[in-house]
Amino acid sequence: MKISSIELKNFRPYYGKHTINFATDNERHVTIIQGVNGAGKTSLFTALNWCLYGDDFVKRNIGHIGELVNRRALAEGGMVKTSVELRFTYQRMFLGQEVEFCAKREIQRDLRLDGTARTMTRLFLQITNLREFHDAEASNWIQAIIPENVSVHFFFDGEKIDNFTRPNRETEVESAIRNVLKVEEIERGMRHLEDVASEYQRQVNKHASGKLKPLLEVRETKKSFRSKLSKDIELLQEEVKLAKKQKQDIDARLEDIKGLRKLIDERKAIESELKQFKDKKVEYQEQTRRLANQGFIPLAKPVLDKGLEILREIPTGLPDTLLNELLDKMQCLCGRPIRAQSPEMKTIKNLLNRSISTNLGHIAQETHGDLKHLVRTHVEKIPNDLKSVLSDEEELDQNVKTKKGRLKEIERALENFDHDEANNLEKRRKEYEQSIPKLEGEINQIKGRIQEIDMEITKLSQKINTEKDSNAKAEELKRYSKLAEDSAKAMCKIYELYAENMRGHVQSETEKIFKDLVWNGDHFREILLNKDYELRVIDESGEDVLPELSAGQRQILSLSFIAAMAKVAVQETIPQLTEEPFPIVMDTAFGRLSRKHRENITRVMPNIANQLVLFVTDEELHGQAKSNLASRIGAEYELEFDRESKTSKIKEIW
Amino acid sequence: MLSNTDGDRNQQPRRPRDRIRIDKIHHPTYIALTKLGENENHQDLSPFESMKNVFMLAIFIGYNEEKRIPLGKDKELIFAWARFSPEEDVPLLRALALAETEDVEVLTDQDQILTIAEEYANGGITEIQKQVEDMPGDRITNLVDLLFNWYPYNRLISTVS
Repeated sequence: MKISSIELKNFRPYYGKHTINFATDNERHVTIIQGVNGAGKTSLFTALNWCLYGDDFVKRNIGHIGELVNRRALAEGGMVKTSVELRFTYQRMFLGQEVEFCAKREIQRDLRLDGTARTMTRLFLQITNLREFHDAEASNWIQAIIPENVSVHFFFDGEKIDNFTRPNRETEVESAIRNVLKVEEIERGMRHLEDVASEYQRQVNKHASGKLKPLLEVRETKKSFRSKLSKDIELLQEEVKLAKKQKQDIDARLEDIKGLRKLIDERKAIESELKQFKDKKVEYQEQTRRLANQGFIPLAKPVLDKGLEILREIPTGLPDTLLNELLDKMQCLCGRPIRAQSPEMKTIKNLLNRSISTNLGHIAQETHGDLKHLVRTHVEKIPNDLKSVLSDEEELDQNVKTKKGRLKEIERALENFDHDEANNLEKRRKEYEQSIPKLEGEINQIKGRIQEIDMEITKLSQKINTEKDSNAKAEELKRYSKLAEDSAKAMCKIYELYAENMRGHVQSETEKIFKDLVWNGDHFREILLNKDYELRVIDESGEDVLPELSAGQRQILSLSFIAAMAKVAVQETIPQLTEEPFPIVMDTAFGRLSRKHRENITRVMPNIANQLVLFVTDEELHGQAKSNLASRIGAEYELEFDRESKTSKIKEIW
Repeated sequence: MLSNTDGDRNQQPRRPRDRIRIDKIHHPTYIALTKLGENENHQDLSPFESMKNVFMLAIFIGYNEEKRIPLGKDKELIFAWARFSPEEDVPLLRALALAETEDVEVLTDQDQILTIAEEYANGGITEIQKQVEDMPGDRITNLVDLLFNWYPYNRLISTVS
């Protein structure tokens, strides 16, 4: 990221428009903004932060938002517009393509009729030549480019940055490392994977109900029972077969007894007839059902009559399409022209009034034909046929009754025949005959039971299949859960390695930079940043001298720490997490520092930052320090405060 | 292929309702009347070959009894329009709608034809339940008795005989 320019309008002491173009050249990337105390340096620093992060920054550092509006502009009355426009380039999220952004935040302040002021703040962010975003959306983009919790480590007040280096400030150190080096993103990924794993586990518990085994057992029991019933049927059918065979054998033996053949033959003939009657009865019943199922047609007679009556009145003349065509052409079918108000015209219009649409006409005609057909072929025929079938069936029943009566007579004759063997045989025959329907009844009952069991088995099989699917799903989910768990563990390992690596890098870089910046670098043996993010400054004798550091030394140490983070962030530790270098903007850059420290910073810092903006007083930067920067300065401005008008001006020096 | 724009969609003719609905409480009756008896014996054949036939008879029982009852909130879809025979059922349903509305335009309004039929069937089905299913004895005989007990049938039969 590089800041190209800032434009202020009616902002704090700056009346009207003022612009600063920052140095962005690779070699000359230092911008110096100098001014005496009260000239407007901090206001400029505030403008930069307010433009990016809005009112919250102002409330924390200045107070009321209204304080941002220039007093002179306000005194002129009417509507006052205060704005800060910041242009910067950024390439990280655009596949390496450098993209120019223009962020503009403005306050519109006007007076209501009752004398009270109304203030409205708005934010615009434009990706040059591409898109424009407003307010919350624009703010989200800015947070994605340079989050506020990261920017505080790059845009800072030199006099206030010694927080890291005060004793017991490990929380600040840790949070700086986490925010700038994006350790948190790995942590977030780890937590997410853990959540995913437990969600999968919940789903596993839901799907694996443990019902499959009992269901399979019940189905097995049912199947065994069904198989037993099938065997029972086979046995009963055997019995029926046997009874019929016995009957036949008895008949054969009765035939051999003198004087009985005729009776036995007659009985055989009647039994055969009765068998045929039985089939006939089935046929009649099926016919009856078929006719009864059509029974609604005669029942609809009143509806048929009424329908036909209505349809009879439907005109069947010329279709409306043809009549309309005649009117369009004003020409008769025979070719003669039709004149307006002529009798032909009136006739066509009358016909048209009575005509119906072609489609409706077609349906009406078709329905009319169908109804007439139904009346002719069904309405009378169905009850008639039904009556006839019922009458045939009744006749058949009567016939059956007569034949059965004759069978009884034969049976009695055989029982009373003067022959012991014949009497016994007939008695046994009767027993067999009575047993057959009984056995067949039992068979039918069992078959019914088997049908029920088959339905139960089908339902159980469906449940089993659902359960199997569910179990398969549970197995799959278990695999996912394990995968998420393993990934979370792997991520945890990566996190530990990454954090450790970052900590180590920051520690060695801080030490290197600190030794370079501090005037008595040899006095300090090493800088330690332990696992609990406690910063230690070890001197030659091995003692931790952090508590004894001077304010200036602490400022140098903080600066070293920030510079170390900036350097580590751009090194390719994990490419996806590598950050684009941010500019370093320092307000009151060297306030507390001694000459030697200033010289060191001005010598070292331009090599660390890709863009450096220093807000300094006239006394902060001169002599060797200024010479150190000379070859790197690309822009220099001086801020002037006019006591009379109480406004600041920006004067370009270089 | 359907167009994406609302304007074009509005120009598509609306498809008429296709499914035949009954009140949910009558669904068991429709099932029972078309279900086989418990034994395989032919006497236990279901009285009706299809739900469509139950529906058609219910309509004209309802009409003759002047019982047209709108369907309640809970409905059941039982079959599609395609089950109606074009030679018998459809002309009868159209005749019913004509008789009911006395407006020939109803012939092109399948939704209205169906609604009228459904409401009469809703009125007639209870009579079939009572006379065929709830009566003791063979259900086909009960059905035949129901038909012959009905006035138009008696008159027709007497005319024929």
